[in-house]
Amino acid sequence: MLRFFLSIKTYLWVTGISIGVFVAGSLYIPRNLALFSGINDMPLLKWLLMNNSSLDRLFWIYILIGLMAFLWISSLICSLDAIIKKATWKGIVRVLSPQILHLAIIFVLLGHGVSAVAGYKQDVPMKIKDSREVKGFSMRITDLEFFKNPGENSTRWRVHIEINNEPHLLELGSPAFYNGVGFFAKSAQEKKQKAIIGVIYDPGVLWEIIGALTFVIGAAGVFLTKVNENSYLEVRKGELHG
Amino acid sequence: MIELLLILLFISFYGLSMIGDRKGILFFLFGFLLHAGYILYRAFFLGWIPVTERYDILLVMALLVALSLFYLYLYKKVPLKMLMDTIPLFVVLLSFFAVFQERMDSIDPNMNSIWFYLYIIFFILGFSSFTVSAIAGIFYLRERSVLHEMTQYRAALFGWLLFSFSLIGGSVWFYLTYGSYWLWTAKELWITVVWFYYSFYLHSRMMSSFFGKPAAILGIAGFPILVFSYLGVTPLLGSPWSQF
Repeated sequence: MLRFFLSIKTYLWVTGISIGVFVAGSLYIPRNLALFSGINDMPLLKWLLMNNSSLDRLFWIYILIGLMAFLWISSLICSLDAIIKKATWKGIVRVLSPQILHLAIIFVLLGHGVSAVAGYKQDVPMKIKDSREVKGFSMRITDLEFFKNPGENSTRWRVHIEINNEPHLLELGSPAFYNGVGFFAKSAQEKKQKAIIGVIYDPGVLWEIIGALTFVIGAAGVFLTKVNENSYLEVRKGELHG
Repeated sequence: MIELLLILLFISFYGLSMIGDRKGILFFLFGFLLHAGYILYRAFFLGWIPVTERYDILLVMALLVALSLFYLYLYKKVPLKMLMDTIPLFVVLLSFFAVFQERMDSIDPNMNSIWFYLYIIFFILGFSSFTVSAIAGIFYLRERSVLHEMTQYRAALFGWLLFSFSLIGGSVWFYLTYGSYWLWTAKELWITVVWFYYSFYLHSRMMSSFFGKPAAILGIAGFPILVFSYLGVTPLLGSPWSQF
């Protein structure tokens, strides 16, 4: 059983099938836009449960979840096996770097999994001086600013907002975080003096950040060890010439 | 109009360079200098690094692939004839794709972020490395040298790492702007296909049955997948349009 998970052949089969399923998904989404219109507005699991009558058009997502879960387990087992069997102090960076990359993928997949089952997303349209209560947070827009930077093709906005009576400034690409919940100024209209505030709690993001940082460390190790080293192909060269 | 003529001029120079010999090298150099000069002009004209629209991105990618000719000739000692037979073809192809892209000459405020620039710069570097990997695969099919096999593998490995960095940068940018780091769209699925494809390629090279020709073909096949994921998904599958 362990050998099955450790086998590179198994990995290649699962990856190959995953590629096929991703391609299938890319064909299903544009052909069923009405069905998929809400998929990005809530955690995946919640959306799947809401649309469980459309299994004929969503089966590929379930297959993908199964394949990613399998890759998660096999990456974990492969990395542990490689560290236990191959790690020595001499050349530790060379052995560990690819495993750190595997670990990063494990964190990233975990992040996707957590995002799919937990958290919430809500877009709240609000006018200036409006007060709203959302998910236990009181929000009030105190001011809206609009301006245009040179070279940019549309107007930017700044939303001055009070969250639980504390003042915050929301800008494009610069949300505010309050008790782990993100507040995003998604869009704003100058004429109507209104803005859409995204209230988003996504606990998977933390795992994604850990995964990204781990990946950077692993990639640095791979760069360091592979730039001046011919890797397995040196062995291959030896085989050809030997 | 003048800019279009300039692009067609350096495309022609690259095309003519495929005749090989000394004249060919001169044509390639003329093409390269015009090409590099035009990108510098675009940077000056726009006032920022010209990587915010598909037109410029493709031209920068083409320039990086052209640059690889010097690297492969000087450091990898790849025969010039082989380089002149292949690299200009890829440079012409990428530049030609650029000609058909809509010009914006402005930037969407959503994109004016350091994370977006990181995303797109790593994307360009990854895309160019994958292209060089495909080119090295062609070298291998023509001249079964393990050195080409090594170049192909290493270019794909670095391409994959750079492409992964671009996904990290893109996720951070998208999350900070829209509150999501992943979207279920045909475009995102195809970006994932590219990432998994090269992951497949890199792992496959641990199996002896993939050594040599199969690996070379697998690496070459990555290029059309890459091009489709970047240029084909929006018009052919109907994914939302984007400036980059």
